[in-house]
Amino acid sequence: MNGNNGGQVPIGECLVYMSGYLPGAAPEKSPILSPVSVRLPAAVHDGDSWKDVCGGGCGFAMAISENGKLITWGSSDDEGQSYVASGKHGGTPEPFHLPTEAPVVQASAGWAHCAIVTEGGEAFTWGWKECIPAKDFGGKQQKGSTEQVSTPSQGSNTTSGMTLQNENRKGGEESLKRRRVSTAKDETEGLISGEDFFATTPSLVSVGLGVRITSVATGGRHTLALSDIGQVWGWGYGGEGQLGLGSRIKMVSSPHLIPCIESLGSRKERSFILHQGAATTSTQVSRVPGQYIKAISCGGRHSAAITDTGGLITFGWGLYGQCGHGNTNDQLRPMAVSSVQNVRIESVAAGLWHTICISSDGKVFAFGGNQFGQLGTGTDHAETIPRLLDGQNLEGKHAKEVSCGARHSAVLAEDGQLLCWGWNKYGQLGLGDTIDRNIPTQVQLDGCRLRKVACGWWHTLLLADSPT
Amino acid sequence: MSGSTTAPSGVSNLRLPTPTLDAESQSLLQSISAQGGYAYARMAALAVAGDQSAAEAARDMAWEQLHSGPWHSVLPVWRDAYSMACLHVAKFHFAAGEFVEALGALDMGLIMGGMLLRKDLHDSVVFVSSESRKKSLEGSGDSNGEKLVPEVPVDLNEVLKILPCRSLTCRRVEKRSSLSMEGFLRDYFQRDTPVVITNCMAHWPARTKWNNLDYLNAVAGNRTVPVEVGKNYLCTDWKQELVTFSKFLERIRTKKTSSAEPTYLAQHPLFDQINELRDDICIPDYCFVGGGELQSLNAWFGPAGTVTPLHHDPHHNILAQVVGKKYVRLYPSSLQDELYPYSETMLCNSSQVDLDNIDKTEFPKAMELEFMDCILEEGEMLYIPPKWWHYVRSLTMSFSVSFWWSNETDSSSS
Repeated sequence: MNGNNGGQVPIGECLVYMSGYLPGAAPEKSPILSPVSVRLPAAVHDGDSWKDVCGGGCGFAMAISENGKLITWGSSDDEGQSYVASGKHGGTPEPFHLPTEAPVVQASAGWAHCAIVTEGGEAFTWGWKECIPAKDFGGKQQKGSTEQVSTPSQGSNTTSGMTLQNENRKGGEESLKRRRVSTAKDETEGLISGEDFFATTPSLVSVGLGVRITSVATGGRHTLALSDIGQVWGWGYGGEGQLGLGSRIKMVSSPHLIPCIESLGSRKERSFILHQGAATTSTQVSRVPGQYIKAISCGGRHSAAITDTGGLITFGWGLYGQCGHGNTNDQLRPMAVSSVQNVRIESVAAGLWHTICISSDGKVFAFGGNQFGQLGTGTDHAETIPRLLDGQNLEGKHAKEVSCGARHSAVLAEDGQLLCWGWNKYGQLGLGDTIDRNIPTQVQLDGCRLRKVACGWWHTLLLADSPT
Repeated sequence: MSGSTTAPSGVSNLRLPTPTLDAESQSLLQSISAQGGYAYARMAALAVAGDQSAAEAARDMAWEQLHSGPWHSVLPVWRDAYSMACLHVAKFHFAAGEFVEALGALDMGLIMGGMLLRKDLHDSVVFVSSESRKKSLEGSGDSNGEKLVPEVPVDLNEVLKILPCRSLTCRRVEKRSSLSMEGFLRDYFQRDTPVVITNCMAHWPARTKWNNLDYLNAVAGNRTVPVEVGKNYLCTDWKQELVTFSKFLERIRTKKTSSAEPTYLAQHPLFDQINELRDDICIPDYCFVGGGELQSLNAWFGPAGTVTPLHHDPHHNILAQVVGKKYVRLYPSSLQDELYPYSETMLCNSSQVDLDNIDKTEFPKAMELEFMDCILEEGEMLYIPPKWWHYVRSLTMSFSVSFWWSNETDSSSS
């Protein structure tokens, strides 16, 4: 779940390493406690090499080859058929068939869906149907009104990670009813195939004529796309405001423009800003942190974006403080994170319940849920405003890149050192054990220089120069 | 399900029967797949085929989905998925003779799971418990019948030092012995008036059994329960934990946790989870007055000094005191602004006024308000009308049961 446009890695022989677990993959494959090399498949190896790592979802991993092919691997079922998000080849890395010959420049995966961007600025998405735009709506509109609008839900009911039994019981009855219905359906129609729930063929996402997509970010059930002029589109589930449309709209089935910049101030204020240039002061207007978006990221049910001037914007689910606005409310509109308004943020990544960002001077800030130590603060307390990580393992380190899995975090420093923390039950931190860490902990990988890190749901991928 | 669990030879081939799971698995897995849970379905299939770590991974996956969004938005099918994974995990532990671990897994399914597989979970608990007792019969037998709470009268002067100021100086809640249904309806229920009813619980098996440590340990010792740790739910350090009942009993008896941080089994539907304890209580007839429905039945079990801060609930409430004593203070439902409710939706039924330490400058209106209070003794029930503010503090170790019921008119809507 890191949504940064992958920095270009210089051409050369690169290796991909993986640690952690792809649930549903062949049992002998998992979990991997220390990073192991992932071999590029013979079919594409001829003259090709690894170019980039893209994390992956729950049960599958993704990377890109030098020739711009998307390579996937992960779980497969009894018949050797495959998990639709990872391709038809199961545990072995293979090129994923796309309906375009254009090279893939960036890829992102949510819990059970994928999105990619090609060199030509086209975006494709596939996987869990709920996350895929309806085909009928592909095309021109930016403000279609076809989506189901839900009634606003009442405030959240959880006070902690635990349950409320009454709701629980009601929920159970509901599911019983639903299931009866589905059983009856089974009898008449036979078994429902995976195709009914999964869009196995990638479909082109169209956000408007002439709009070039430069990067995509995928969350638990929603997707964001960033265009070459710095606008952000979103679609999928928006029940907690993660689509930033100002409502708790449950399902947006076509890409909608998200008012990331507009909502930060009135047009008047904006034109004021335009005239004032970067010379912002601490007046109310100074809260407008830029004119376009340069990076996006999705968490489980929240979203984050960075403006051209390094301002951090968040929206969506807030129960754990993952929006960083000092409270636990859901944030229905994009809003600047005021506590880091004087810090130039370079990149941001988000997990199921947490958010990590790094500044241009290499500092790391963390906020949100911390049940597994995924904030790296040395405690298990949630943080509702960005907290600077100043522990000794980060001392003197210039953080360059950040990525978050569902419940773990990884930062790559300029010197090529990798620090990981958070949930480690399946070895996702790559530290050789399964003990959770609540402080950034250095991963030892002898003999090669790390270029990139990309966390998947319960796993971590690394891109490295081959040892010489 | 073929049930070919790979029990190592030497351990008896113990197998948990799970008829509902066997019958429903296929269609449940299909519903889960429909919600994107293809990887879960794959793991569940591996679990059935004998892969224990797959069962645990499936449970982790379902747990994650239960917490992947606001509680009300979690798809019900994931609760059943969680129960299913707990049953799979329990089967492996049971087959290996790990009864405590099996019970732990089943309890998690009961606490967080859905309704579909609830009967299998309950039946499995009975099954595992009886196997477990067979195994442990040899060792035990030296029951000393230790009482949880000794029958020592409370020293009123000592108590007044602990209670909020002005306690027991205003009106006392009226006490009525063996109040008739008509009397309850006419004089209290319809008049929106609290009352303490005495001599009405002597027939509860719980009255004799729950003060007995050995009994509680035998019936529920290995069961997992959610408890609250911290001064009260409004405090920042407050948290919830899952512990075994015997560990909980140990904690509240030895007072190992500092008095500032008591462990409290509060507002938990314990009796839906532990059927043996449910058999020890009787639903008071008073709860059927008004023709509404019983909404929930909760256990409140903790050491001396637990506090439930001033708040109100939407339902009629009978608080039955089974073991120990509690102080209860009540403010009428007509009060609102005077008690400064929190503005957040989640806490809007709680008062910002801390009765143990009233901030006079911030909450001046709360100082001189009229209230009613009482010390609720063992064997007494307190009726709290809907929306009446209440503050509760345990004076000894205490085990009480609350019964919530609705009016006929509003039961349909809830």
